[in-house]
Amino acid sequence: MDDLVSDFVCEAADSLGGLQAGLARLAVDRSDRAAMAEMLRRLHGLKGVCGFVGFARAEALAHAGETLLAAISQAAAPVSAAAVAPLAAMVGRMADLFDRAAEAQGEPAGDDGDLVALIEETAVGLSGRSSRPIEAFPPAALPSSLSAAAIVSDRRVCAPWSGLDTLARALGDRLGKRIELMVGGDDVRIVQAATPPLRTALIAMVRNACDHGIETPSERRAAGKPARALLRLSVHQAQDGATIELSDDGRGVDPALIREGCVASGRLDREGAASLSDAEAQSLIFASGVTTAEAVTALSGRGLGLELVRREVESLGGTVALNSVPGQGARFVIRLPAAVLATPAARSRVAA
Amino acid sequence: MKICLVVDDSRVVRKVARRILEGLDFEIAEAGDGMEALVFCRAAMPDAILLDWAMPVMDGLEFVRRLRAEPGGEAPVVVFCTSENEPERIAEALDGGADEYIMKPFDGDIIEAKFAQAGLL
Repeated sequence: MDDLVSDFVCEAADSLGGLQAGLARLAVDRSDRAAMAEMLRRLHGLKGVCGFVGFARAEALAHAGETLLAAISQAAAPVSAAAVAPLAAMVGRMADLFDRAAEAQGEPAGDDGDLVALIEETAVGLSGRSSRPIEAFPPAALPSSLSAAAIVSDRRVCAPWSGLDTLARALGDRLGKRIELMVGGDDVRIVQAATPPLRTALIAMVRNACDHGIETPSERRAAGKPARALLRLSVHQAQDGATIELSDDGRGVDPALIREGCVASGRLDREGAASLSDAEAQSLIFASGVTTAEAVTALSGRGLGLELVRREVESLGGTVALNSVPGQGARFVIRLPAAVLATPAARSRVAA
Repeated sequence: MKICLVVDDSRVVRKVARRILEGLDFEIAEAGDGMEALVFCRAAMPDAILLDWAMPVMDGLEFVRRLRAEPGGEAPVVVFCTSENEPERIAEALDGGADEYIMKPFDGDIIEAKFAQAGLL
């Protein structure tokens, strides 16, 4: 086997992270249909990829889990906690399996017959084709600490941007916004040493975009935008390094608000602020101490997060810049030197 | 060299497809969802598209419907690949504008056979 397995383990860890987030939502509300739909999508996707890398155990577990999840989402009334528990056990089993797969460079051997049977029986019970009530089934062995959490947090083997889609969706849920993050571009590998600072910077950028850049669904509709906001993270590799862009279709950065903020905080006097070009004013959001006045709520808190981004990127010998048209969104561009690349530029690309 | 756009939200699946198709002398471009694929096609229409069904943002079915409505969007051979095997879903994909349909997980032999059948090899 080859690096396909480690790619798969990273991708699977993302899927498990999404499933765990879904389980957490179901623990609060077992009739949360959006959570069920998202979990079904994750599980279905994971199952589909398992076949390509020969992970038959994970595929069988995912298939059974999909059946149970479908039964839960089709149940007329919210199901009992016992009906959801086998899904948590399934996630725990998969996490353990993927944990050991990285080392084994393939799927470790083992028997999941009991768990698969429990999951399937629970699904049959929910579909009303069994006379046994759901509560009669033995409670699933819930792992005390799911090791998937360990995989998800152990990003050493993963790309700096892995898991950001889950983060963006979770932040959106918490903020009452609908946010989707897509990762695209080249298959760029970043050296181990550069991964933690870059990941820190990207997380801060995504948080900043979700907290401040993206409007609420009603604000977006009023501005003629789709309620669902889209963040795009695109990664490109060239001979002299890598470029990572994060663009959003949110409210953008208004240079007038930055000028006001700098004046209100005493950082600049009125003349100094007025003499800044729009681009210069916008670039000040990376400067330390640019926290804008309380009145400027649209920008509050931006300063600190983006100062951190600049510090982390500069520690890698890179630069970060902002392009923004107020009202239409923001595009942050990180440029990194070739030293951060783990693989030389050798990709077939199609010229547009 | 013919160009094939591989559209799948799994990087692992895209990589598998890339390896197979590069072996068949295709130049490969990748997209992670239907919207990205549509943007690519507007800039450079590929010869073939290997298309996943279930994807975030824009799924494969909506993509192929919108592609076929684009100028020049009739040209690419679209091969749908999913783990759905119900005849209704296959019919839906073909009605939507797909040319061929293969099951996941696919391998080199399956891709080669379907691409030959579609006149791409």
